[in-house]
Amino acid sequence: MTDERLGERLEGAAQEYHRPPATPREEMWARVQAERARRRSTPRVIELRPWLRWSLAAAAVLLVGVAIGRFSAPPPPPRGGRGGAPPPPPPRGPGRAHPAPAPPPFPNGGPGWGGFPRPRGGPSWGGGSGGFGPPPPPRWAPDGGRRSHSAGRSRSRLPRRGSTVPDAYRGAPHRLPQRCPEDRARYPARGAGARAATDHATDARVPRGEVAADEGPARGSGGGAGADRDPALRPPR
Amino acid sequence: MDEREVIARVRAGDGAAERELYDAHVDRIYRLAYRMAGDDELAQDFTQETFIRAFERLDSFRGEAAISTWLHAIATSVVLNGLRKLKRARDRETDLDAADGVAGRGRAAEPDLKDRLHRAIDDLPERYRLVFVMHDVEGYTHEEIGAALGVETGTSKAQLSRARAKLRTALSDFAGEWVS
Repeated sequence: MTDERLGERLEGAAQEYHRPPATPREEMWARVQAERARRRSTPRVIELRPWLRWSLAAAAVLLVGVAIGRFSAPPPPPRGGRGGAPPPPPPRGPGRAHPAPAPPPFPNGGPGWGGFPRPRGGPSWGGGSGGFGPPPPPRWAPDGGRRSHSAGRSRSRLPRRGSTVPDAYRGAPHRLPQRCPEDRARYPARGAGARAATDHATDARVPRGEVAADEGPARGSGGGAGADRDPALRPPR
Repeated sequence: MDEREVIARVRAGDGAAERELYDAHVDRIYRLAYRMAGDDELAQDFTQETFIRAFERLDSFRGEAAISTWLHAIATSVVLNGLRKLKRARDRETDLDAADGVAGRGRAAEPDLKDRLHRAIDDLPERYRLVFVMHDVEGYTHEEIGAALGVETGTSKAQLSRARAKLRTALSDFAGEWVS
């Protein structure tokens, strides 16, 4: 039997399927009006379905867990100079002329917004510094995050103790940790001006005062690092 | 009176216009609800809920489709959701009965074609049954069904074809009678 023919047969036979009685118009209209009046008078109650109830419960448990984890983070260890033993001097060796960056005053990157400490061990929130130094301020900061943001980016490349940032520009307003007296004495802030040729981690690998004179161009004639440097600034050969 | 004018009056809070809108569409909505529910009380509940929702949400009606299409979209949603809830409740009751060792209904004697057809229609998936009832029983076009269910016309045709195929399989015993 073709589909059309079956359809015709079914249409004929199915007319009796749940044949409706006459529409009770007035009765239903009264019910509609009564129900609308009842709904208008009673406040709407949101009915929680089982899956919604369970989802809300899971989300609440997760939030409580996160909050407990953040509030129960250990407090930052005290810095040297306040009763504790001074920090050990940084290791010095032939291949290490610069000190290692000091840990920030807050091991978790300092308190975050909303009073929550930052996650332990992980990178700081929202910053491009990868956990090294304070994160850039949010865009809704009073200055729009422009000045501090750029400062934060440059700071993240500087070592903490031997950086060029003077002490006057350190502290909470500048979001840079203060240096302890020992660090200040051992690593004075470098003054402004051109950087000495040996004041760089790569240059410092050779003994101070000497220059790797036998270093030739890395690739091709005149190539290599420093090839485009002004001859007057080049170290003497 | 123009449909748009009636809608505008309903939006303005005119009770007479509400009644006018109700009278113009209640028959088709009730018939569809009854065909799907097979029970007067349930059909009245579905119809009532359809009009309550329609009056509540008439402000969101943008007038891109006919008001009857919009009303049928609400009605089909109400009916399908209502039947789903009912089925879930019945399934729970059946499970309890089975757990208590209460015997279910006995298998009826072999019914005639009409009863077999009605049972076969009842056994169709709800969506197929709705399309079948709307098209083959109530005479809606595929365009109307597609607009009410929010599907393409081709989908409506495909679902009707599958519904008929299922009915043909269920009624294969009577194929000889039908062919003759």
